[in-house]
Amino acid sequence: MNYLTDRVGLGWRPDLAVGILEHLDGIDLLEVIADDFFSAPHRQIRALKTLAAQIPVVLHGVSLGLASSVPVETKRLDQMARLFDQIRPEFWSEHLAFVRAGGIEIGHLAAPPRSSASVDAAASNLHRAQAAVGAKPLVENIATLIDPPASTLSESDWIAGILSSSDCSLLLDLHNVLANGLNHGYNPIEFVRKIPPERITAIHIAGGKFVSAPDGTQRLLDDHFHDVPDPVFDLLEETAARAPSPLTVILERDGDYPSMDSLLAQIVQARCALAKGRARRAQTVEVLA
Amino acid sequence: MNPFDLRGPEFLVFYIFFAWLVIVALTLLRRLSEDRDTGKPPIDDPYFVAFLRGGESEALRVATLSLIDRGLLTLKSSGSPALLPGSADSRLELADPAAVESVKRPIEKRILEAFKTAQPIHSTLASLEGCTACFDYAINLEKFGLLPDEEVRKARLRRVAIAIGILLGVAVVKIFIALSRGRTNILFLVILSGLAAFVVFRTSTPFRTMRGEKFLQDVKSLFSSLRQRAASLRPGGATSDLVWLASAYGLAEVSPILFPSVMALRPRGPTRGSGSSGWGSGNSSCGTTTSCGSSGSTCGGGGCGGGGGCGGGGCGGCGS
Amino acid sequence: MSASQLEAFLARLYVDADARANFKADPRAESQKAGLSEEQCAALEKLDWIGLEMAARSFARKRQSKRRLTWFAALKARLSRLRFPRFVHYGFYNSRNNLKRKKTSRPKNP
Repeated sequence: MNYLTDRVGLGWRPDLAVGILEHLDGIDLLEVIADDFFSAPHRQIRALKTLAAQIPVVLHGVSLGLASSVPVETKRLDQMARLFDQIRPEFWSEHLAFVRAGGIEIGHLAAPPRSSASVDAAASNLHRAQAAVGAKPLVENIATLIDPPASTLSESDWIAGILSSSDCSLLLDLHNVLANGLNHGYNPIEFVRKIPPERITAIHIAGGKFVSAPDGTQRLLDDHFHDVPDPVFDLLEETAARAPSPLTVILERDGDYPSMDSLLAQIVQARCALAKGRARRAQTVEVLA
Repeated sequence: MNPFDLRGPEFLVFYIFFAWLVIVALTLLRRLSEDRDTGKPPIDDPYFVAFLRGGESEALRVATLSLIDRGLLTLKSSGSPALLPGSADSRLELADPAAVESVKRPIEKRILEAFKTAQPIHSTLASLEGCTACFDYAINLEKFGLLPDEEVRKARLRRVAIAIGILLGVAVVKIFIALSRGRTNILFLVILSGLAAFVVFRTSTPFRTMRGEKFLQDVKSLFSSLRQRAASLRPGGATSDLVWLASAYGLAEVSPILFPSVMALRPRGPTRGSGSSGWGSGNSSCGTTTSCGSSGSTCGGGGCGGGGGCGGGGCGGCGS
Repeated sequence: MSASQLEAFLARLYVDADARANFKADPRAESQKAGLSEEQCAALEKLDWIGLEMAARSFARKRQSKRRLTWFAALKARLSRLRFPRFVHYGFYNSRNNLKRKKTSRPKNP
């Protein structure tokens, strides 16, 4: 399967510990939620290091709010930096979102209005984060049930602007692309084609569910409680056909856990989608040559 | 000030403090010498962890529990399926002779072969101690520095001998001084010095090395979520979860109501951890510790990131 | 500064039901009260109300699931995780847990 060492891994969840550790040979890496360990006692950090000695581990933050127009708190960056130093992951990632503003904690990832001002603010935060942690983060696109008001840029242009200003790579969440495309009326495949492919180095795949809106319409909620749908694998194939760099694909599942066999089957399906995409890319490169 | 000039009760207090210092020093020396990096121990074999936690008898019991849950062994009592699994005449028998070839792990194969005909549980498992499969686990554990090897055991005994020598020496000197001054109330000091020597020996020769202790704590931390949902496990439903729960935390964590067979497997009466017995030269016995939790067990609920970063466990969805 | 003011205003709309109701009643007035620019006020008048309500509900659920235990509940959780010392005889341990487990779950095949 490997094309320049593409890899497929899984999000580390304590409830999946048994299945993950029994099937390490079928999983290339694990993604750990960094925020779970910011206040963890020493023995939990040491346990994480033991895990990291068995299989490559990457850190994924959820509460820095790097796309906020307000500078990220130094205390939060220090927490990430400390954990990064202790675990020495392959890379770390965060979201292009804001989670707090005006002294209010939103409680989750909210999409900021997309403008050149928020591009500059995000780039500034990313530079600070890199200085604090010692490594550039990968930045992830988020799903949003509401198209942020007062936006002057499209999502793809906004993301491309941040990637260019900060020189960071993208962790492309394909289910978020699908959700935003369905909820806000654009073609997810076209969206993927507009993202600079050389910036894509990691991918999240996950599942969600349709929820009813008050007006009777349906919107796709990215809750990570469901299996990865086929359109996401199609997007994965499309991404693999365009991205020149090795890809790290991570399957996210946060609850309502199926059997380990089911998760492994989705990992295998991801590998197949990657292989198909790479085969298409190889043909395209041959034709161009 | 010469401590040997202290009066009786004061000297006893000094001696207690001195013995405590000796124990602390021994522990620090043990930590420095036994916590060396010796490679990555495997974390995918539950019997490896069970052996580390409770010795070969524990590994055999956990493997037997796994085989019972998978339906490869049947619990019998006086020729009929067991109604009282904990009874003394509980026996196990192989459910299907072809099962011996179907299992992958040598320890499981060995157990199935031992129960080809209905055999009493405890005596049969006791007879399996020292088998090649168990020996391999012991060798591996020593190779990764998780159990003391010959070199570590000798170093421990050397340190213990010196420490006991110092403690008894101080006591003997004080006794001579007391007797030379006409004081004969030396009984408390004699008892205290004996007790101190015993405590030094017991605390300085545990079953696991420092690295082994930390590794076991790490495994327990990684599987802490399993302990919290132990009551939700069902027979035949998730044998892996059951086996890891028993391996990391002991058979006492397995509900005897949901898994009646576990009663037949628990050791009769409290078991003792014989810290100093080892495996260096094919010794057939191995130190065991009771499976009802072991030192350094974590009580924390979160385990490895329990609460979840942004939602109920994990990312919680990337966006509203 | 207006970008941060807009984010602060949005954050308030996401978490405060009263603020949402007031905003829905008179979007322009509320936006101007928050010190937003004219363009931002105009953009907010065309806000996706349904998306806003759904997002607010989703954020509320997430906040609830992250709510920290009160100190008392945390102490109770910690006490419930204590185990008997290892030298307690199995019989005593099991009888106590058998009583607890009988109350909460019944095996399918006792």
